[in-house]
Amino acid sequence: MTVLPYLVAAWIFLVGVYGLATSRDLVHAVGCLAVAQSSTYVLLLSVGYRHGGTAPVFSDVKPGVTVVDPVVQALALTDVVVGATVTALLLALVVQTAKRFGTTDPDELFALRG
Amino acid sequence: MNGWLAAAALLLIAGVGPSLWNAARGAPGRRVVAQNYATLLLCLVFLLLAQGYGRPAYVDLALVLSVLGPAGTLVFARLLLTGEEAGEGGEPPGTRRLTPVVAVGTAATVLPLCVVTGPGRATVKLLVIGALLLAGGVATTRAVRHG
Amino acid sequence: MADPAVDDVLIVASLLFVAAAATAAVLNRDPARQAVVLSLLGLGLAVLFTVLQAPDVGLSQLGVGSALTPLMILLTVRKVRRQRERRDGERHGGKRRG
Repeated sequence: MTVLPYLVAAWIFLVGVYGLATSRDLVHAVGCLAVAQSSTYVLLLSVGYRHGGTAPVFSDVKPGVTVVDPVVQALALTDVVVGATVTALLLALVVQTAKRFGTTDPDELFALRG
Repeated sequence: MNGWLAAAALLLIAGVGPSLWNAARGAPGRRVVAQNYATLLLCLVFLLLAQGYGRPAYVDLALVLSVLGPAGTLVFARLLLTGEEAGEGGEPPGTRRLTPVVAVGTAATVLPLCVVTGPGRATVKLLVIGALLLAGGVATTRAVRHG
Repeated sequence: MADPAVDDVLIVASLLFVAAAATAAVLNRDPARQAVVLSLLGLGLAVLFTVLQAPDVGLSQLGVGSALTPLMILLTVRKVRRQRERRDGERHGGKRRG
């Protein structure tokens, strides 16, 4: 049971990378990258979890209760927002690529070949 | 045995699990309705979790979802069910059942929570969330049906 | 205050839901349909964060993943499709409306 979060994080990462590698459409590939990024959120928050702890938000509880680790929550928060920004940027690049090459199939994009 | 958390777990497994199954397969109409169900049921799950953990601060999640959930469904209905992907004929399965399910679920969740919370600002917040859920259910059903 | 057994059930259920949603998001190859599953993945992640006692991260995830990312993906799909239609229209001779 205690190892399940890490297994799930590893599974999500592998599934995302598999989708990225076997993708036939650049927009689908961006979605798979978002999936792979979500594995890091799961990993970070699983590392910080404490049994019996509660959220480190002290607006409605008194300080002194057992809380889960707030540092990894800050990291995960940054991760979520940066992930959304990266997705937006990549989608803009996909639109430009489609305009330039007329296709979104990564196998047909030959201009990057050496 | 914490009844609120057990109810949340039950709603999660029995309500949102099948929504994922329906959202992953089939025609676009079925998927949009499944996503609609998922957002509305998940809002109720958040309310139950807030009560189960004894943290009134978690109700904000339900408030945000009650606004963003139907908005997301309207986006999907506009971009998936009209234009290029249209041509369904008939309304997607489960559309007719959505408003009654939302009404019953919201009443069954919000009213006991209001009773437990007692009068005050928190109860007003819960009632606002319930009203937003009902309005969202009606608006999205209309959008899906006329899409 | 909270029963540890039900806590564990909630955590396991959310983890399995997220894993299933991630798998479904990858296996749906059409980007427009993948966007719906990605919305569900975002919701599942929000529940997981709440159950792991991180509501502020859950709030951000709700804001970003339930409406914003799928909206961006659907708009991209629409734009690419319009570009392709315009290009096909020009290739088949003469201007086409739309």
